[in-house]
Amino acid sequence: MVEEIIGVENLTKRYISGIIRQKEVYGARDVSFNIKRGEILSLVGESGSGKSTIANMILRLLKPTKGEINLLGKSIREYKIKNYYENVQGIFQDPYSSYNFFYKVDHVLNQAISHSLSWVDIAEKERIIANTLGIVGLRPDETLGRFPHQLSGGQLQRILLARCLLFKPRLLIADEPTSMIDACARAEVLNLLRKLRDKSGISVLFITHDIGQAQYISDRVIVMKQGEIVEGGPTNEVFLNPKEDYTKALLSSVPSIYRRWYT
Amino acid sequence: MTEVVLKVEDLKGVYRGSFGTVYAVDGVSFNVNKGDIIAIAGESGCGKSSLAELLTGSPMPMLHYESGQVTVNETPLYLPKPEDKSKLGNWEKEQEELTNETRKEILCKIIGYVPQSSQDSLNPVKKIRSFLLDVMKQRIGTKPRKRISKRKDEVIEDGLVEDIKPGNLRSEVLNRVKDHFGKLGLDEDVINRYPHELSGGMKQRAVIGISTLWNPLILIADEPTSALDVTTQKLLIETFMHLRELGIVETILYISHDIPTLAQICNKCIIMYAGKLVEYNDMQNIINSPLHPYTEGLVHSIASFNPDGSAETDLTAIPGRPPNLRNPPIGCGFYDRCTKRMDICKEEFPPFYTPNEGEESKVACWLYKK
Amino acid sequence: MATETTLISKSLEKGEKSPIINILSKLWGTIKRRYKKQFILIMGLLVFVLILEILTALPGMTDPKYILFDGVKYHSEYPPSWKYWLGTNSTSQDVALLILHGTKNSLYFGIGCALISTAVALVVGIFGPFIGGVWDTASSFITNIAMVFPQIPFILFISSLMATRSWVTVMLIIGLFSWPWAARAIRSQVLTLRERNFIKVSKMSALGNMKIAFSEIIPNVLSYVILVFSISFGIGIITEAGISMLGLGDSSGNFVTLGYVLWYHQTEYILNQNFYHIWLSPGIVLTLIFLIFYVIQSSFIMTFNPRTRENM
Repeated sequence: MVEEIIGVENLTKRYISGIIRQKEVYGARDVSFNIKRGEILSLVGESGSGKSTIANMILRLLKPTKGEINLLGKSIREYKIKNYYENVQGIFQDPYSSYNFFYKVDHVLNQAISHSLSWVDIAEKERIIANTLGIVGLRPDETLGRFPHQLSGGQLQRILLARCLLFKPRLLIADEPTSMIDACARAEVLNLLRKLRDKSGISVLFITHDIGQAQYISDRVIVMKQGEIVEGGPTNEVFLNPKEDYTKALLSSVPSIYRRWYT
Repeated sequence: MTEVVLKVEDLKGVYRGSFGTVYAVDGVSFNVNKGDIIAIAGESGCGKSSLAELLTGSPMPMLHYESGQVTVNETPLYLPKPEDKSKLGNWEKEQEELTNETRKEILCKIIGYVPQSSQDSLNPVKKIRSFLLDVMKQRIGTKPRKRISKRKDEVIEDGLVEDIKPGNLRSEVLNRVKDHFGKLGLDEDVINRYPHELSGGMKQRAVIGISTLWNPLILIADEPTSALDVTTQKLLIETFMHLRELGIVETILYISHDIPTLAQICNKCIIMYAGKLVEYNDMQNIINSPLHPYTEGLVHSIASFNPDGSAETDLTAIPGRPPNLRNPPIGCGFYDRCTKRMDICKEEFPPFYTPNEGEESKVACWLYKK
Repeated sequence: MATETTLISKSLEKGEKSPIINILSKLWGTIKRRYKKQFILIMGLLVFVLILEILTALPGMTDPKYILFDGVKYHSEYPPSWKYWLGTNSTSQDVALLILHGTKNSLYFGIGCALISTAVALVVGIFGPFIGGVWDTASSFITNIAMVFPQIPFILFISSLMATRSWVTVMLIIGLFSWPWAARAIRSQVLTLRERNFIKVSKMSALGNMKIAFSEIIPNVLSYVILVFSISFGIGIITEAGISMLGLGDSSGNFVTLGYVLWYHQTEYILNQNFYHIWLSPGIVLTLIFLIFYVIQSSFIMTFNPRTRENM
């Protein structure tokens, strides 16, 4: 069963700087792609390639200048905010700044559950939170009731994932979720995203600059450069037989433990 | 016989401040041979950068030398700390004198140090040229003078760099820079520009150029590529290799948490965990047949790009967090996270073993006890 | 499992409390943790006001003979004595008692000014940049105008327009003109907070702007609010003293402040060497109050600056 979750058509974000001599900078330019059900799509590119701009536009945190985003075949403008966020959720690069250091980590979960499941009673909410934390591999007694600085980056990122799962979203947007956490804890988050895809059929838009991670996790990849799509397709096709020169150059400069430039 | 240029013996360094005492570097010893490119790897907070600071002989204010010795080219950088507390004040004074005395010589000719996030360390309101001259004035001095070394009881003629007359520092340095920056693949014009006019890679290369201006014996590079794009990273790695080909720098200590990058250029690797050296091995062995369980976990948790096939199917992360270095554990710091732990690991930190005879490797793990 | 569920239920119960109580308890926690010294100072000041209140309410202290100005000069100044610590003035008023009342009223006045200007600064500083768009532009425009506006001349102008001025009017005028710098400081803080991820996360929980402002932004600008409050406190007192000195303060004569005491005595005694204590003593008290506020402010600044905080 192939079902399109989200479709992006000619998405453009233009920034204009200056008052008299105006300069146009494109955060994204005519970007079109779609994500199918139960698929992990990676957006790969160097810094300034517009990956995060696209993520923010799909998450409705940024208004596109031009173009259309369709969720389940309907324009996202037709969705109410609350309805929309029950379908699309996201996690960000820096897990530490995703928490208000003023509150315990429960705060984000409570916020989420009181808006997604406001009708259920407290006992039921507890059960749901405990279950969801179980899915992301955390024990409630280890995490709840603590402040963000008492937990590691990997744990914080997984609690944010649990928060997203409370909404039972169809699409999860992961904007460089591993770049701020320790190398040896990154695999936790990556494996979890794969598990969510396999077990719950959640589609993931995975945004990264790390080609290795993109290769590990994704079904399809899109390579971006300065706000435009360079190349896209199934992971192995793009990474093993790149067609565009930019992709070739990019891949040849990725350090890998499987090859050595100098011997 | 290979020549040992840097010898580190049981080096300990601590951070002292209002937050308490953090045992950042806790008994590290290794040798660096001439021509080696050594990687120092480990997760954040394991003491990599603190070790690098201590190796330069003049660590930053909060980091203090505790015990051990660093010998660079047969010159010791530290005076052993006296056990008698009343002599401590005197020792501090002498140590400071020694540091001041050796510092210029060492930071200029023997050790080139590229500090962490150094592309941001360029002064934004100064052109590269005047920044460079400032650094050189600091390191060489502008006036000819005689110094009397207390340590060696001999008079040293000034002019740390022989082929320079301190009077014409400016022209000499600028001449040299033109030549040197050319070798690094930088335009001559770069020194007349402001940092914001340069790209990240150019800034980083300019910093490397400044630190290697007098052909140092060892180059210590602390995360030189971590905040850069992969294409720029490759450019920088090429720069390092080019410096080596030209004979400007022969020995490099390359500090990074990114194992794939390290695998490209390094031939030896030091793995640090919780302030301690846990494994010293050939880079290829670290990747293919790691000895310490931590190294194994580290290598198996990395999603590395495979250019000729599909990616690894299964990665496993290391669970848990590293120990708090304010009160480091008595035994092995990796005990709580280790899958192969034994009872003895908790009680005593293991000595170094060399499991494969004939190899220049050592590992601190009780698994290899015979 | 039992322990787990109780833990969760506890945390949920906390979340279920009315948000205002929740926020207040969080604020209290931060105050206790981080601003202990400043909190003690401010509390001490309030206790001081309370003591003054009790003192001035004591039977002999409120005797209208010592307090009220009937304008009739008896020319019966007493020198300082055990009964009248600072002597009396020409209208037979106990100067020490005047200063006591004046200090109390000045502090009240300061608190009032601080409340008004902090409230305005909070509204303009937080909601403008947070809601964004036209509101942002408008709030920043208003702040900039108010900032370059010549405050003191304007206050003088307004005061001179009114035939009778109660202390409430004066307080409103001062309070409504001393907020722009505070709004600027809060605004800059909110502008950086606005870009933080936790705001995005709250938005993705479909929270409204108001709710986000109250539960996410205000706790984070709390440190600024305390600073703004204490600075406005001092500014209010000193501005009022200045205006009263010019004779444009409270016109009823029932609200004796330190500025009023100064103004009342300056013309008569400033050149008379025998009675320097009458005009000097309110001046000294005013200076002392301002010194206390300076200490509070600089200690706040030390707390906010992480570099100096480490050494504390």
